Amino acid sequence: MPYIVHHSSMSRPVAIILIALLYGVIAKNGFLFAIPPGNISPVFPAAGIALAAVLILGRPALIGVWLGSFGANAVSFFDQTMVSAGAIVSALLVSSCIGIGATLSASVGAQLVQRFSPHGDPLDSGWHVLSLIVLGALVGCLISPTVGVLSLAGGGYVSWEDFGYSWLTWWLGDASGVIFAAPLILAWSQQRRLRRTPPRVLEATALAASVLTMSAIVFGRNVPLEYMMIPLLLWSAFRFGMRGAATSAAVISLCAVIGTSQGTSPFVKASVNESLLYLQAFLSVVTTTALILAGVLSERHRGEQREHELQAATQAKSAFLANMSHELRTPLNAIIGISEMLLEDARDLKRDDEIEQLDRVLRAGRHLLALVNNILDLSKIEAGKVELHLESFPVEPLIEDVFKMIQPLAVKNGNELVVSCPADVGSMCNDQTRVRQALLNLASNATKFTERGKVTIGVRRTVEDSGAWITMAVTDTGIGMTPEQVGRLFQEFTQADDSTVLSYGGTGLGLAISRHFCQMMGGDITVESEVGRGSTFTIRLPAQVLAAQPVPLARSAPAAQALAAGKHA
Amino acid sequence: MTRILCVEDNEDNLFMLQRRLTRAGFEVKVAMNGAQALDWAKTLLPDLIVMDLILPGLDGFEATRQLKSQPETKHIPIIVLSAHDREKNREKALAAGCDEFETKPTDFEELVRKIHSLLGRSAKA
Repeated sequence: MPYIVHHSSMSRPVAIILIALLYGVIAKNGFLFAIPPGNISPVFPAAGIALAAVLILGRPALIGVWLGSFGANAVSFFDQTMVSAGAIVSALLVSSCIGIGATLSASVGAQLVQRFSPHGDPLDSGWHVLSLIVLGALVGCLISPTVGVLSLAGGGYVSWEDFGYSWLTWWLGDASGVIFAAPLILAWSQQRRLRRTPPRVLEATALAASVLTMSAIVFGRNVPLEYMMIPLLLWSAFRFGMRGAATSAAVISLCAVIGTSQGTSPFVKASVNESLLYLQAFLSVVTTTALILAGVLSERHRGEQREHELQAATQAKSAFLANMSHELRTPLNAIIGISEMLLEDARDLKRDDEIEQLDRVLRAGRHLLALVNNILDLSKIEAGKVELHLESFPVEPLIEDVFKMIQPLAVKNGNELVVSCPADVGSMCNDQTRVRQALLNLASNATKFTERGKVTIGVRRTVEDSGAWITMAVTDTGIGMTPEQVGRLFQEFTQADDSTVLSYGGTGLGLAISRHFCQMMGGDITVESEVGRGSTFTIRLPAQVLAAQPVPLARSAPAAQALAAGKHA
Repeated sequence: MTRILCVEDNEDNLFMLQRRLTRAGFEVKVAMNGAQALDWAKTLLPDLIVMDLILPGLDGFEATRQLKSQPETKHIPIIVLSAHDREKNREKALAAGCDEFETKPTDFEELVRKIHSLLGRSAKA
């Protein structure tokens, strides 16, 4: 199963042959990197090609890996003089075994990487890059040297005493080859468009020139400034992402290996072992750091992109809702206006049968308008576009207004409506429209859910350490609510019970919106309720609001604020 | 008789406004776009204009601005009616020079009260 889905126009056999050739040529030319005097290759990029090929193309690539490994090894054997048929058979046998080892390494490495990068791209985050390096390079590459050196020793090409040393060299070479080549191939095989704007091309050229110049100075002139590679790799990762980091790391590695093999790099030490160790440590650490950084950056970039998209979508939605609400209000204006007009006519002409019908049309129109307004409010809250219109106003007239608006409904439901508002309650600086909206919402709910009972609106001014507060409590003797119903109360589109929508109407949005506005003004709405006894909803607001408080959209009411009925029972 | 010019592009709303204002005792003239509103305002010289904001061609903001910048019409009070209740629209309309702002659907009694109040003010002026 391929890790990165590619829609290549290349047919499978052609791809397999190309992998075989690439692997074979790179493996055969491993001597390019060989360090004198032992001619051991410290970096074996063919192993990286094998892993990347399997990650990109899936299992069929394994055939190419085997063919390439077998071919390269067989050719190496035949470079030496073959005297007998037995020697030829033995060489072919050992070559095919080494091929199997290389194939197994790539296969197991790829499976491990795939398990830890389930979304397909092993370069898309810091953790995935780390798993590519640890599992794909360090763990996966344990197999090839084991099978390979066993075959060589079995065939008599390596003495058993040298087993450990040969194994270690092979493993280190394969692992650093994977770190060197696999991310490079994976990064460039992604279908991502290159931005070829002139400043970008100029910057890439400057980066490439800096990397090459610095590499030539450090590894070609034996100047101990290896750490100069770090800023260059940071530049590559920050400005050119995974491709930049992988490419710069590969170029630096290549220069370091060539320089060390030529004896002109700071890594050349007295013994081969020491040189190898320092070189491999340098290459692995530098490359791994750059790649993980690029992975983390790409992850963050994707997160930011998602957030932008989400924001744009929310904005588009609220703009759509704002326009829709305009479109809905225009005909509603005619419906409400004309039915009001007809209702006046009917009243003047004392046509009682028409009055009732027109009254229903009018009520339905106003209900629809309330819905449209609520949806618009909610979309504004969601888009974070709510502004408070702060002004100073006396509290008492506002309470009287609400009383007058609720009175007809109270009379209809046979409720006694009581207002207790001390004369010295004074004025408050707040968004008057929103305060009125919130109190009206609570009072009309209380009146709606109470029959032949009592609804009290109690207003108080209290002075606390945190300043002066205005409290408006609406108490009813209505149906009350269970603790579960109280918990769900402030959620959007939710009434205490779905069936209440049918029997009592309403949008289910008003309370959530009112509470949000109260929180923006630095206050809150709380509720105490008991089934069968009634409820008390309390608005608590600072008397002086200076600026709106940022409030996240409340999706559920905190349990602490919903004082459950059970407590009072 | 007090003459009111109603500017509104939605026929149903125009019909409703015209009927209700006529019944409230005003003489009502109508215009369905901004350009027409400017013409009628200059020729009829109404006592007050009720203006919708979203109009084809010349919109309500621009019509208000032009009426308030011309010497022959700048004394005419303008009440803007908007189906958008956004604060931005209110500010923009007030900046264009309108005297009052009402949202749609309109509380008709409130509208009539504002008309009388503006007429009283301009009569005194």
